[in-house]
Amino acid sequence: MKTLRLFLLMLGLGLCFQSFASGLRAPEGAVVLTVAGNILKTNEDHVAAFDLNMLDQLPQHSVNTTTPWFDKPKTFTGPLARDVLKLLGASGTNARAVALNDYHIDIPTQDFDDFDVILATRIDGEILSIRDKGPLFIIYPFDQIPETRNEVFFQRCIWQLVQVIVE
Amino acid sequence: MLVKRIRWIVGIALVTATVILAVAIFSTIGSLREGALEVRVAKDDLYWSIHQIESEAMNLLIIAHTMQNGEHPPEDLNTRYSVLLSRTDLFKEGEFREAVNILPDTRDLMMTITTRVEALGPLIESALKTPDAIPPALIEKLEIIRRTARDLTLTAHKEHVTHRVIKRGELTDTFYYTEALLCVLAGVIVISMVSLYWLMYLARKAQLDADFQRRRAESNSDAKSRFLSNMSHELRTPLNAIMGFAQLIQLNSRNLTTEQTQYINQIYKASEHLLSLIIDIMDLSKIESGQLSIELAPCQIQPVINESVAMVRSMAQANSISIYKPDLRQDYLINANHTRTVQVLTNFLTNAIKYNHKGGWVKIELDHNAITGMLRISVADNGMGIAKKDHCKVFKPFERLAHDPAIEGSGIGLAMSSQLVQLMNGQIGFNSKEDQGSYFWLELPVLEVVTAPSEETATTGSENKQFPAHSLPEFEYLEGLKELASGLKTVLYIEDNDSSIRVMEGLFDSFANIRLMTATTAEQGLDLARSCLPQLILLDLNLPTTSGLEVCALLRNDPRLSDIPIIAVTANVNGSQEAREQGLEFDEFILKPIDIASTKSIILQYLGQYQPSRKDLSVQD
Repeated sequence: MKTLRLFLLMLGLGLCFQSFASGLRAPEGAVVLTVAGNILKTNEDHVAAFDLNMLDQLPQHSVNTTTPWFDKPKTFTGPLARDVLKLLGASGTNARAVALNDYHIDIPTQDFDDFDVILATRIDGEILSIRDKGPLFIIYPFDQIPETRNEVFFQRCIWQLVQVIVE
Repeated sequence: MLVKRIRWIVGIALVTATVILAVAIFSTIGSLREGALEVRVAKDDLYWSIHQIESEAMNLLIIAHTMQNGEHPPEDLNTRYSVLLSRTDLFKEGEFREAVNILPDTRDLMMTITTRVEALGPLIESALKTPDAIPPALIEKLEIIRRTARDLTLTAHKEHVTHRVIKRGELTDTFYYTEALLCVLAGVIVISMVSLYWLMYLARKAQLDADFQRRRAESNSDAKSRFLSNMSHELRTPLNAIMGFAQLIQLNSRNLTTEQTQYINQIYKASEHLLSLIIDIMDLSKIESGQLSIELAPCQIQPVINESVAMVRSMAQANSISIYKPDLRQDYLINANHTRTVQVLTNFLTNAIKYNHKGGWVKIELDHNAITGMLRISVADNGMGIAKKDHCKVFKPFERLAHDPAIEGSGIGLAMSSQLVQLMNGQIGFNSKEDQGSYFWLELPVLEVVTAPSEETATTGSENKQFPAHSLPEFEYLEGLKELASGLKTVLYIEDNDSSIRVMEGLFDSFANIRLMTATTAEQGLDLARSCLPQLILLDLNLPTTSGLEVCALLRNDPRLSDIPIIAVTANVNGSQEAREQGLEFDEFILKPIDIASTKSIILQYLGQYQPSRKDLSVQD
């Protein structure tokens, strides 16, 4: 019994410590994004998992731009990629973005510093469903920065994004 | 004219062709550029995206199969179905729809698949409710979708290849046409360059021709001037003999019969006319070659009119023509040359008298235009007038309009007047009607309007005989030289022309105490000058070996002879100018043909044997 109490205490302390060390609360709703790799803060086993609510807590940015995938310009809203990585204390030069269908693309983390790259959770104010290329859609400010209007950056705009691995 | 028009047409055609070609080439290059620079995400990702439909259908099929065995949670089926829907949705808008739209078979198959995938909704929902029993219809339909998706991939590939080949063909054609257009443009440019070169060549040739013509005209004009100058000299020398001897005979007319006196007067009058012609021709030639410079100075118009009228009075009287002078309550100070203005006005008056009828009139009028600041001096007459067809010839030299051979004239008077007035910054013009009269005018700039002095009657009296080529002598010769003798004086005359010597000898015959020595060459003259030390030397300028100017220089440089006055007696009208240019000073210039009376008085002036009395002793008509 005593041993059990000690164990529970240890476990509690451990959990507290872990929670304090990671500084990231656990997701409550459905996980929409997991970040792995060289990150300091985690809330699961070596990964940081985000539900929509957690992403919504971060500063929100909107960009209205034309894209190859839609007829008209759309307004994409969500946290900046660099804010997410900063929150997690991520360090690395490359971010491998993985989609639902296991498609992945490598994005230089420099991009996130150079441009306001958004991890869009909403399109024209509507939450992105999987059918609408959700849950997350990486968007560059194409109309605002014309030098990003080419295939290299269009390719980096991965949709149905579910995971980012910082390397 | 035709060549000019052709040049214009060719020029316009070339410019138009160049513009059209340039536009065509630019638009072609523009479309090529657009194609080359197109951002083609959809085209690059087309296969992959189409293939993903097949792949997702396969995934869904696998999940449906394995879900029954509990290997997959039901939400996986839902997720994969959403992914499949997103795959077909991708082709509903944006660049992917456009990419598929240009491939008709692919587009049709895509629509079929989209419809089928979207129709799966209810079956998926029922499968989610009963994950243990997947409806066989779902499996079956998914299988159909998978096969159709495979067909889609293959069709898209085939069609895309075909499309690309067609596009490449079009591109090849475009390049071909562009090259052809460039060749044509190059041709047009070459033609333009050749045309331009040709035009420049023509312009240059025309310029050279014009230069050549101008130079030839100039050299012709120079040659003419030289010829006329020489002619003037050559004509003046014999005229000196004719007029000199005529005057000498006139002076001794006591021994002649009345008839002989008349003859000799006629000879003198004709030679005077000849001399005035020579002077006019020389002047005109100078003006035409731009050698005549006229000094402008303020001069009053009233003396000009008086002098001109005086010149023509005897002529008017002979023809019974009345001359009316303007009412000169005001005089005008004009900026002109007095002598030349008199010359022009005299010419107007002479014409008005000559081309008139007996008992006709000639009116001189003045009209000051305060706005233009010009004074119009006009001469109107009621004479013969000028026929309309001849109006254009009036101011042209050597165009005599009079058809009456009895009227004398050279046809250069008005031509010269026109040139003179232009040189004086004035204008000249006329109006005339045949048989009604003429109205000639000249306009000169007015400097000042002044009150006229009381009108002189300077024009009355025919004793004011004018010698156009000579100014009136300041000192008049007086007969009775014996009284003036103060010892024997010696005058040396250096002259190669025999008749000129004879005229001078005739002139000196009337001097009792003056000895005339003559020398026919410069050397002889210099020897005589040194040995006899004359009181006066008369020197011809055109001597055969050593010129008169050189003789003058030698005389001036000889200390014993340098004080002897030297009078040039020459037929060269430019003699004094030439002497000035060489820095030589003559005490006097007498122009041949000499006027006996004034020459005598000049000679006496230098010998100190004159009486300053003004009495005209010139020849009588």
